[in-house]
Amino acid sequence: MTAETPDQQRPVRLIGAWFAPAVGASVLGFYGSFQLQEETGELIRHSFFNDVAPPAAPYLFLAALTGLLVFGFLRHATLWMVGQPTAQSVLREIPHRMRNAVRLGLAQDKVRRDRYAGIMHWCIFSSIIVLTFVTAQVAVHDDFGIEFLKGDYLNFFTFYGDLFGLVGLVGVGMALARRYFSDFHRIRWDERFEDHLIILGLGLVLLTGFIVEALRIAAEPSVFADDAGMLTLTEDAAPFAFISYPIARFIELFEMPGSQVEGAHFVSWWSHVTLSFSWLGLIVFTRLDHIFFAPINAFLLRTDSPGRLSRIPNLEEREIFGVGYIQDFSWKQLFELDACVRCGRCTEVCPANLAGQPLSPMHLIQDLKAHLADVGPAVQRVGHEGGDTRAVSPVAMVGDVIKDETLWACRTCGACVQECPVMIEHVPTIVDMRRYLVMDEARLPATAQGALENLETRGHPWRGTSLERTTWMEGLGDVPLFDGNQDYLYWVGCSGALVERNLPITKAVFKLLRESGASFGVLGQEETCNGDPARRLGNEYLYQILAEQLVMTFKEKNVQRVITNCPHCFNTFKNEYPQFDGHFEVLHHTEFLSGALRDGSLRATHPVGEDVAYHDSCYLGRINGVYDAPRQIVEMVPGANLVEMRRNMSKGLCCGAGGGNMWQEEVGERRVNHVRSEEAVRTGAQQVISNCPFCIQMFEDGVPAVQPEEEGRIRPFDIAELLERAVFGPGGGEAKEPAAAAAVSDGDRET
Amino acid sequence: MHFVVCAKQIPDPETPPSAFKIDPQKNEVIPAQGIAPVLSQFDSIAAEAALRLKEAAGDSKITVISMGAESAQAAIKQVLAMGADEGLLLNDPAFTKGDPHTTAKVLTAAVQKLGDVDAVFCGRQAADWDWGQTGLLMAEGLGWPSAIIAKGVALDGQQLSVERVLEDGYETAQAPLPAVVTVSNEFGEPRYPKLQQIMQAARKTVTTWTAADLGLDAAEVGEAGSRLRLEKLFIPEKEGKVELMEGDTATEKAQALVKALQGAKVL
Amino acid sequence: MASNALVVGELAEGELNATTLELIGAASRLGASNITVALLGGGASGAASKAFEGGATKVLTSDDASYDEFRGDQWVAAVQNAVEQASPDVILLAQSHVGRELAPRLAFRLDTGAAMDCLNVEDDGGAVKATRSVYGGNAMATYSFVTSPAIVTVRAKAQDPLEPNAGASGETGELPGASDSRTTIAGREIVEAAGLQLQDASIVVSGGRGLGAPEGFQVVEELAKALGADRAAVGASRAACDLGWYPPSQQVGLTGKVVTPDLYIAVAISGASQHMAGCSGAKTIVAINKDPEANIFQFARYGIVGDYKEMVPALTEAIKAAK
Repeated sequence: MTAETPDQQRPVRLIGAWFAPAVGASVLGFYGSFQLQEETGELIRHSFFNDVAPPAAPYLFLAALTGLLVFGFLRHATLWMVGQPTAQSVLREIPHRMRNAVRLGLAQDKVRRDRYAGIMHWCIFSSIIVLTFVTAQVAVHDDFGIEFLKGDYLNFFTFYGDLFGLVGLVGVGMALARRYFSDFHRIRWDERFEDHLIILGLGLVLLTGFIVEALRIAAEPSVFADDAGMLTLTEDAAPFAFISYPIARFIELFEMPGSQVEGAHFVSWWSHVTLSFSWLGLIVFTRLDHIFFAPINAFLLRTDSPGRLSRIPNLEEREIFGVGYIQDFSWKQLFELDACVRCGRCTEVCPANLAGQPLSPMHLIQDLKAHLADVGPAVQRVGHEGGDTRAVSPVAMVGDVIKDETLWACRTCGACVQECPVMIEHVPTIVDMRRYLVMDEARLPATAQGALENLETRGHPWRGTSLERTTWMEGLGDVPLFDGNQDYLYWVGCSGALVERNLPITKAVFKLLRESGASFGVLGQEETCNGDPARRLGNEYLYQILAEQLVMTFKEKNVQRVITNCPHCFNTFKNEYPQFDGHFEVLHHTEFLSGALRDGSLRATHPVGEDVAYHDSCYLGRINGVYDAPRQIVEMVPGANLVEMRRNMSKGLCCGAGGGNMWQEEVGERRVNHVRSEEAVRTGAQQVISNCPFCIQMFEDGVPAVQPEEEGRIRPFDIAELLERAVFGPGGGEAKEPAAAAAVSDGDRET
Repeated sequence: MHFVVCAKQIPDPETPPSAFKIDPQKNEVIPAQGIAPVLSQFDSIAAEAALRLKEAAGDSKITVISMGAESAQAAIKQVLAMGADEGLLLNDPAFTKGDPHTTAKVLTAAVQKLGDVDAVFCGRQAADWDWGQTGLLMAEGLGWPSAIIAKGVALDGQQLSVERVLEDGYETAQAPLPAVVTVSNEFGEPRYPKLQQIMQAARKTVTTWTAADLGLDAAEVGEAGSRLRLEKLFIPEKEGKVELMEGDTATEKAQALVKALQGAKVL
Repeated sequence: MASNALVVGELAEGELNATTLELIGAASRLGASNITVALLGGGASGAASKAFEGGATKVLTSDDASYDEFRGDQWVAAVQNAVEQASPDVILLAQSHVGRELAPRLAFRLDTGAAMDCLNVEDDGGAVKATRSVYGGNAMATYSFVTSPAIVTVRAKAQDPLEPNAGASGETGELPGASDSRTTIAGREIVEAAGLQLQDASIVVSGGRGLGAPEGFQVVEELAKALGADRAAVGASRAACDLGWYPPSQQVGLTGKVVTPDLYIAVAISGASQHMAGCSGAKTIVAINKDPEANIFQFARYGIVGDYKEMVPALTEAIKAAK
């Protein structure tokens, strides 16, 4: 077994580092153009026949392109407008949104998460920006009589024009290599004709650009040979046109008459201009529209936590609860569909897809986009006529276009959202459709139904558990109940109290809290589910009932600060309870415990001489950004050697249980927990450590499946269990080795 | 068509064994703290059967009847949310601590008072006392044919066709309406209510009838009218002397078990 | 003391079934001096001798083959006739598809009470007391009868038959032929498990929801095969059957089959009381479960804590090796 080298993925915060050179060069160019305008240099740029060719042509093209863009935008906009208003106004928090537009849109922070694609995309992007400036300057110089392309500046101008032409070609080359010469790549998962058109077209535009420039250079001597005192191309200037000049010299080898060179220049100029404008026209008809849509979507991106699902207001007065028809999405959700570039990054990281289960976020978005194009215009028309827009679509969006099992396979782990370079938020869209399935259609997998019914009748999702909320307290001596005077409420959660495997975790957290001297209490029998599974499974109604009740309980008991051992509880309390006027300071146990270790109130003195692989749970890591606290704990455990898994931190892979899949039967080739367990096994570590009871249960189930040999098998533990051993010594004071226990409570109730 | 579903609210059968307690003086189950009573699961399956017949027959009405305390409203609402049309609570202090005989007597009186009922659906048994008698006693009282332990029902005009579970297979029994059917878990999972129906159910008012409304005398119902007397309710002792197999690997544990079974002459 | 007992017997392919003999045993232990057995269906009079050998004092029969296919209304009329002939203080039936339907109907017609699915019937100073499992097996309840006769259905194998008294005989009488029924039986489908019947198996290996997936039953079936196709059968918990992982005909538990094998191996079954009601009569219970706190270990004689995916194949191998 060989350990893999992990890709450390600390968040990069260097805004704009990638495109600064391009913009910088262009700005310098403009600046230079005005500074140098006054100088009477011996060198000036000639465009020859442009002086005689109708200068109107490019402007007609430009006008046509502008018209086309406006038309295209309006055509899209009419489709978006069949959607509903957004829950939150997109005109609030403008500074935040502008920052997003710059950081995620212009600086393309997300694009860079794939290094190769980041370089490729920067090459193409910066080249297009710079060459647009270059072209604009030529237009100003030629057509407006402001002759500033001369002297030293012309040399500089020539240089960066050639440079970014080359940069663009490098980008195109990288794109071609990936599209045509790599193994089957995610960008070919949904390949279309336009993809070839875009990349080959861009290559042609850039190539013809060089040819035009080379022919122009080659034509200079023929036109101005007799014109004494106007030597335009000196040997001195040649190094600046470091690509065009060699080509010009190459053309000269053919010893064409001057008129033929001019003729060739004429033809190539027209080809270049026509190709360029045609290529820009692709913006309207192809995914090139992301040039505009990506930064706009970055502006529209939510400004609150990605861990928060929307609250449906006034549930009691509604008739429709989820999204079962395309027009029930918000216009922003419909806009997102158009922003998708089919890059496949979302699908590549999707845990369901990795396990061969029926969900590909990219295809989901594309299927919705196609459905919008199919029925959107008719919905729009019927809506205007005051007809029944629900009768328009001949197929059911949820069920036919998007299959039920696709929606249920989602783990809400947020990996797709995290990777999407154009800021599509797949998870809320999927949950909206789940809401339709559960609340409007009551169509859901039997096991999910069982979990929800159990939540309704018993206040926890663990159907058939034989444990009570207080079982974990046995053998711990006096367990203080929260009375409103302690600093913290220790929230045990359903999984921590009612699932056998997790009792040692709950006990460990409790003992560590007590050892740290913290003032805290628990709710014991009064705990009920906070509703997270209901919300993720799409039963917003049940969620709101549970959340409102618990907010009230917390307020009655004067709860200010909560410590949870479950990242799902943590996320709901922290990010979602404010929707119900529940504002509490929420800590995950890893945050509290790492603080206690730092300030010395906990001391990890007993060595644990083992390699431990750390698994980031989605809801603590990617969604809430807590990457460091748990790693600090591992680092402070003497003898424990932290090993990173190949996918870690924001690129961590879900254990398979998220999004209510803890209570579902998986459909597909493999189980997600087997995939992730394999990755844990591959680290060669002796323990895999996580911070979430679901993850632990998933590893307990998955590890034996992928590592049948019992000897030397990697053992899953919560980080609190690891710390418990380091603080209290082996055996945790009195506790036995936490046994490998049930992954899923296998209660067989006959009722 | 008018179908009646009988629904019973019972202490949660999924109460953890450690929380299941009995008051030996009163011969009663002590409700476990924080564990709410639930609709007996066989009754929700009976409701599912009635709903499927209603959907097939069209133009039908389902009345859900529960005999119990005010809290049984929750059980009624649950069936209303599934799609039943009207709720009826039979609540009278005189009804308490009865046996199947008196329960059936009260329910029968209610069905007779409703008058136009075509079929009654009950769970095969309630998951608290596990009698399995009420449906049959109602059939006798009403003088209707019955089919118990159904896994499927279909209606062909006035002829009810019921697929029944037997010990060694299934049989399809046919009987003319009106009839009583008791439904078993083999029928399938009860539906999950749509939210809109939950809200409509919440707004519906449940009619309450007392013994007097049904024309029943207090002496013939509840404990007074019972044919059976509960002498003793107790929790059986469990031996709990399991011998766990030791071993570092699965193979060692398995070999230990085979040895133990051979030693005990079981293998 | 119950002096007159009526046992409603059942025939299996013309032969008296084992449960009828158990009921006669129970009637005898109640102190009944007259034990009348009612037998209905083809071969009834021929089966009488076996009833006498089992301890019956009188046998009432009708050989009408219409009774072979059980219809409640036909049977209840015949049994009412038997009641008139035998004037019983106690009527015993099996908790079978016959007893389940007849007992309540008879109770209504005789204006008395019926206690269903009893594990024990005893005579307590002249009064019949019946003990049965309630609350899904969490509790037991003992009932007495306010009215007479007492009607009791008894769970199969909960009572022992008497030692057969070879050559014994007694009085015989007749029961009327079948009357018309309002119910017609349109079809009957017998679902035979491949191989051995659950109730006849001396070893039952059962799987539960903890198997996680229907494929889990493959390893369970392999274990049963290794134990011997002639004596081991595969069962399932209700949760597993309801999930569609195994045929409902193989369900062991309160609402499924009640089995009393020599060895019952529960794989990934938590041991809810409703399931245990169907297998607690097994002589030896072995539990294989990941969860050391699972309820099943309270009933089991031997246990293995571990993942069934490893433990069961290992056990299969160990059993093959031991042969």
